[in-house]
Amino acid sequence: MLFNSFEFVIFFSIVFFVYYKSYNNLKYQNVILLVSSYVFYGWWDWRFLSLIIISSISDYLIGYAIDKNNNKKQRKQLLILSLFVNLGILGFFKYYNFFTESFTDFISIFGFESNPSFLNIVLPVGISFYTFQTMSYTIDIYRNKMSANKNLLEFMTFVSFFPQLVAGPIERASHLLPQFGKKRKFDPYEFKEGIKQSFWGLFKKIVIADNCAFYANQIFENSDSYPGSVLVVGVVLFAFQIYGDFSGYSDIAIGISRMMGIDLMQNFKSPYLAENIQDFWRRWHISLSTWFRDYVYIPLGGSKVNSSFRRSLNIIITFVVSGFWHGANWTFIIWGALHSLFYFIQTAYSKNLNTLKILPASLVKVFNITVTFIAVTFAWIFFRAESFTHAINYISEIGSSTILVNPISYLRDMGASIQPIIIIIGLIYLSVFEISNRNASYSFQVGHYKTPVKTLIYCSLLFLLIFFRATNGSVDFIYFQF
Amino acid sequence: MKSILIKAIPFLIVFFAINFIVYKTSPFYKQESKYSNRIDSIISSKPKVVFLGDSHSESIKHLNLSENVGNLAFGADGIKEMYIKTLIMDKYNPELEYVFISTEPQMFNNSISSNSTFLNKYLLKIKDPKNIYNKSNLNLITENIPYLNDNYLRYFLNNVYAYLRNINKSDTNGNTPINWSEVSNSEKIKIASNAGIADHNGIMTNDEDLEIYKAIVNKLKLKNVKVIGIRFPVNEHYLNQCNKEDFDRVNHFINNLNLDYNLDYSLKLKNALYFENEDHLNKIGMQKLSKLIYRDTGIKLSK
Repeated sequence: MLFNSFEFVIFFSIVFFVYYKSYNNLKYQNVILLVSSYVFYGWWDWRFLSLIIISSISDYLIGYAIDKNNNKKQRKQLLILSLFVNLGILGFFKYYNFFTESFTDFISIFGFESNPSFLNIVLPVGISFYTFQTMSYTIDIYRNKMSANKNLLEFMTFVSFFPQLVAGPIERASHLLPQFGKKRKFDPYEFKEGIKQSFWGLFKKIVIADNCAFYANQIFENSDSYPGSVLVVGVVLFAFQIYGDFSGYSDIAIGISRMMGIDLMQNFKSPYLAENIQDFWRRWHISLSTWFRDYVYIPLGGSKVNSSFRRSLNIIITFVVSGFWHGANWTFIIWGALHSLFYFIQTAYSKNLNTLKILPASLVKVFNITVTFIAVTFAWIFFRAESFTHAINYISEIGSSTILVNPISYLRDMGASIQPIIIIIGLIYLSVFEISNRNASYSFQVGHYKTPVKTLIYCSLLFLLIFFRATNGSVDFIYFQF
Repeated sequence: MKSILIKAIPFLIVFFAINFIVYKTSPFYKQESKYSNRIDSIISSKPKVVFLGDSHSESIKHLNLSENVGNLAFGADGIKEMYIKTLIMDKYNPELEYVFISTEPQMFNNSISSNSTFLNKYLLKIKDPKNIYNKSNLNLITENIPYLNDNYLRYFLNNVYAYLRNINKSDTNGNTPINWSEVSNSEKIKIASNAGIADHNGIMTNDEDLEIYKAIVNKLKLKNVKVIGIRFPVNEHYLNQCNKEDFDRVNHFINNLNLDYNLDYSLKLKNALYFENEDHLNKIGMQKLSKLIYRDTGIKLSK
């Protein structure tokens, strides 16, 4: 059940109506949320519900046991057990085939041959998201940052809360879990803001992402047939596709949660206006980057280690692991590694650029934003490519003389006459709000305008949603596969 | 909560009023009644012979068709639409003995047909095990609202685009509003080539379509229905726009299907007097072709 489907509209209307009617009873509210979350998830494949239930119950029990236990060694053992269960499920479903294949390739270098058995299994939707969310719970209890929750219903609702279950934001237990312990009341302001944010997310998904996907998918799938100039268009469109797709999902998730009185953390903050790679990761998939900061980078020593080599290594490890989180493919690992490389390069030249002071600050800012966008977009090639070879071939073609070929006729041959105009209008509309609300919780902020202007803006958004949405079939959210 | 809902009501009323007007007046939805009338008449008449395909096959409408022959072909139909019509015949026409199925290269291009919308009401009645359109029952119902229907919206936007670019409407439909036999040779080549380029774009790139095509043939064979592949006559410059490699792949695919007959009349009729335009026969041409079909299969199409 996709957020941008009629099934979801009906599902959410029913859930919201029943939920709204139960505002006086906390237990009913949580039961409704839990049941609806399981229905929502089971819509894809009900069999995988068992994984969520196993993960929920084991972490509930382990969390409770850690909290009650004062023995340091036993607490550590319990934490390891929790990590083993969570990462075991994740590793089995997501990484088994990758590790088996990589191992076989590795031993073949030394002349050994093996016939490994690969698993023909489907990756459960959103497994990386809820696994990381529950892991943060037991880790935080172990670190004495929070106490275990004694209410199983509340805990299971926290793990499976449907708006953010399959693609985040990856919530921290300390922020989300206590909200299921308090009665939620209908707040007209939050309700209206929630609707606005959801519609903004929907715009990013069905107008920006899905229209860009029309070209980006064709270009990446047939990249051998196109000149470098078309491949550049392809990767730029992919950059906006993935942003519209993922941040759109997050906005819808946050919006519908607000309508139900639940506050989720901000996940995006105009990332393509970042001034360097570090800034980009403060603005892109914030819930994941802060997760890796808190549970990988800082435990490794972070920036507080003495040796600069160790500090650099910590950064590389964090980026690479973050890439690997996305998928069991070398392309994701390289994508992560590239970000660390760009981080070091940009840190070095930014210092020099600032020291020289040859350019006015505003120009330096524009220059930095442009360079960061180019770097991030370049790295997307690895993220989107099917394999390492595919990515290298893609880049080689961009580096060839075919970069000078006029791409228009190729794009025209892909069909859809009016689509380029729609994409351009959509991107201009997006850019206006992103630039003017660069640091807002979400960029569609119109509260400060007078009523007629506000009405005009709302109508324009509705117009774009109805008339400029993609019409080439619904495209799944990219991050569902992670 | 109530005040928010009350504020939304005027927008909803306006939205549904506009949709109602569009549904009642748009040529897109007028085409729907024509489309479903043709299917309904075949369901009730239960002919032994049925034609499936796009506007090329639809040209048999020029004939005074025998009661045993039904025309299920429709302009802009693709492989998916042929498949759904096969399912409809499977359910409603036990008398079926022969199916003429288009094997022309343009059937294997990568275009999306908006005709799928017109099949929605049948999809609610028959079971499509493949769910080829990836539509739930809810989608089938909501597509009756024009601005919630992707096919209508695409049609609408393309018309707006054509209007903005000042393109003659008939050009966008692929029909040439001129007497073909009176067109100069150079003009014929130009028109036929342009249409050929547009129609043969991205041939054999959609594996899913090929699987569906196989499924049509298998389904019919399972019911002991004879499957006759057919290519209608077209202008050679139209056909030449399909590159040789793609053309060979189409032929290879068709040959592997073991059709009961594989009739190729693509370049059998060359006289411009037989043609309505670069890729459609007129009445005289169709009468000529029906004789060839009778000679090759023994099936009489006209009364």
